[in-house]
Amino acid sequence: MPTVTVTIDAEGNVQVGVRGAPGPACKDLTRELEAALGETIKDSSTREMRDIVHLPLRRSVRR
Amino acid sequence: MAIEIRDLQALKLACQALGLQFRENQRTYRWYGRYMGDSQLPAGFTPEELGRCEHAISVPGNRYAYEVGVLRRRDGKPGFALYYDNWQGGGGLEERIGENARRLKQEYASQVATRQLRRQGFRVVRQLSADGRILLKGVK
Repeated sequence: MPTVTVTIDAEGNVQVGVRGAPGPACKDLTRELEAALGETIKDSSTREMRDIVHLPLRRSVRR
Repeated sequence: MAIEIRDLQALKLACQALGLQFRENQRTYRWYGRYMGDSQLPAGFTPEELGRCEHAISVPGNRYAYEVGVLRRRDGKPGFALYYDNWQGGGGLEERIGENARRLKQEYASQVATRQLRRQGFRVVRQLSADGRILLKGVK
């Protein structure tokens, strides 16, 4: 079940986070939200997202 | 993310939440009337153009407070810039919108995010933290 968190500080800076949507599904969930809010200054993936994205590659290397 | 004002409906809701009046199509906003060079102009605007706007935001019941001008941006980006005369807090305006309109922009961002998350089928819970942050949690 995906959860999106949005934190808006008193300066008006916004942070968007996603849980439960690994890999590209994460960006699919936030793409429209980010576009509606404004300009993305920094975009970093969490371990959850990175692990899922890289897993198939590791498996193919082991074979 | 840096907030950009693009959604007028969300801006109207933010005004409502802060007890402000959004004056749609009001083409002038109240200010001192003469540019004193003590504030930065919005990109692409000249001092002669100050006082003119697309829409305005006012403080109901305070006829001394200056108003916020909602100006169409001229820096090549879409959307609007907010501009107001901040001399002595704009005569009570900053008590509502915050210094540099931060409170208004924060509430605007909250409205945009809430509306967008609901459009995507999320149920949204809003919390206000002790340090002034607005926390939105969207769950499907």
